[in-house]
Amino acid sequence: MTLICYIVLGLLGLALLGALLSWAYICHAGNADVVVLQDAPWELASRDDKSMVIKKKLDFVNRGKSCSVIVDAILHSELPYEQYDGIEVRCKAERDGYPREDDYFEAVIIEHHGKAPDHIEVWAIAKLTARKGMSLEEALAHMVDLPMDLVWQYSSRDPIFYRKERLVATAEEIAALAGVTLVRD
Amino acid sequence: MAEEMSLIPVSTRILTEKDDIVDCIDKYTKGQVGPDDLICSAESVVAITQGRFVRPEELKITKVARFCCRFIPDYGSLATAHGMQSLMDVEGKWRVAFALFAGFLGKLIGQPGLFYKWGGKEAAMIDDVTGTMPPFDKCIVYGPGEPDEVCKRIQERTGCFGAMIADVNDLKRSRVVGVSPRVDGPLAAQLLLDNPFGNASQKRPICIIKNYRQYQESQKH
Repeated sequence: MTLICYIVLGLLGLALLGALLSWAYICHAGNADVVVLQDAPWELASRDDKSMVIKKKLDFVNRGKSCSVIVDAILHSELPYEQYDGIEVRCKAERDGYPREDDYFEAVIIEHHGKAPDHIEVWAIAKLTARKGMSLEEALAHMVDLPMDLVWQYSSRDPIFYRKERLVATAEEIAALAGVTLVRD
Repeated sequence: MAEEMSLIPVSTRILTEKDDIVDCIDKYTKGQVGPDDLICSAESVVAITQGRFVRPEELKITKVARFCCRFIPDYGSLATAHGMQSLMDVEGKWRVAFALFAGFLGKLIGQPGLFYKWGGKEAAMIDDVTGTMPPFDKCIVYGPGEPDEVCKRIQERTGCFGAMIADVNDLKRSRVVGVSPRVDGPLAAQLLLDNPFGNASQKRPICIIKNYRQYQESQKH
């Protein structure tokens, strides 16, 4: 009986030790920790009579100990026509240095912190087109803040999941890039 | 005088699960293949044409997969929860977990590689997200099914000396996945070390090794 107790206790001890070592290893190995930095300003990319394209560089930084994959990144306008219908907005997310005309976002690995590349740069791009027969200047003179949602899919040691970031190009920023004076309605 | 051996990469459109790899190879290599040549195909493309891929969102991730993936170095295809789950779905959850544990013990006693030996053939074959060119860069791609049989069909259809399916990457790794009779797979794999299939964004899943038969015979002497 005593021998059996020792064996059971020994097995339990081994299991406990294994669990502790596993936990310590997992803590040491860590996980990915990706954040999106939005410090860069909006820039004017192009402009014509009816439309303008603005863009902003986003920095996806992995601060974690394990690499991760940005599987997808989608940018879309959150400006409804109920709020302002003078401008049509079309957005996309495009990896810096990898321009694509098809708007496809190719999955990309971000290495763990300290190993290059532990960050990638992605352009948030928005095309603003005047509606209702207005010129771009007329349409932008009444512009409101332009909110956009960046939805990105992210994979690491955890199951794949989506995150959402809010980007805003303010009416003042847009007007300044277009050289237009805002009219307060 | 013996003809010189040479490698000819063959470009294709993107092949999908709607394609048959044998039909495609026959179509894209028509007029280029002779009876002394070896046709090589990239393993991921063969797998894709067989529908052997899954989107990570379609997987139901278990706690065992979440736990086990933590013990794979982060550059591996099984280091993510969905990569590990995709392996467990085809090879069995507990088999993979046991192989991982055995692999750990094996490393402790200087016997590496037990995980890949006991974890099932897919343990070394799965390509995680980003492992393949768009639009399959967002998918997990398994290894091809019945690769030797596929090679045999390619050889019979095209009338070439032989066919091979290989797993090749830019890190000077070339591994035989399937091969038709008469072909010395490891010898042929050495010829693909410079990765004639190109990187993930190049549509060159087929490579013809011209006059391979003579090369193989010369190496035996």
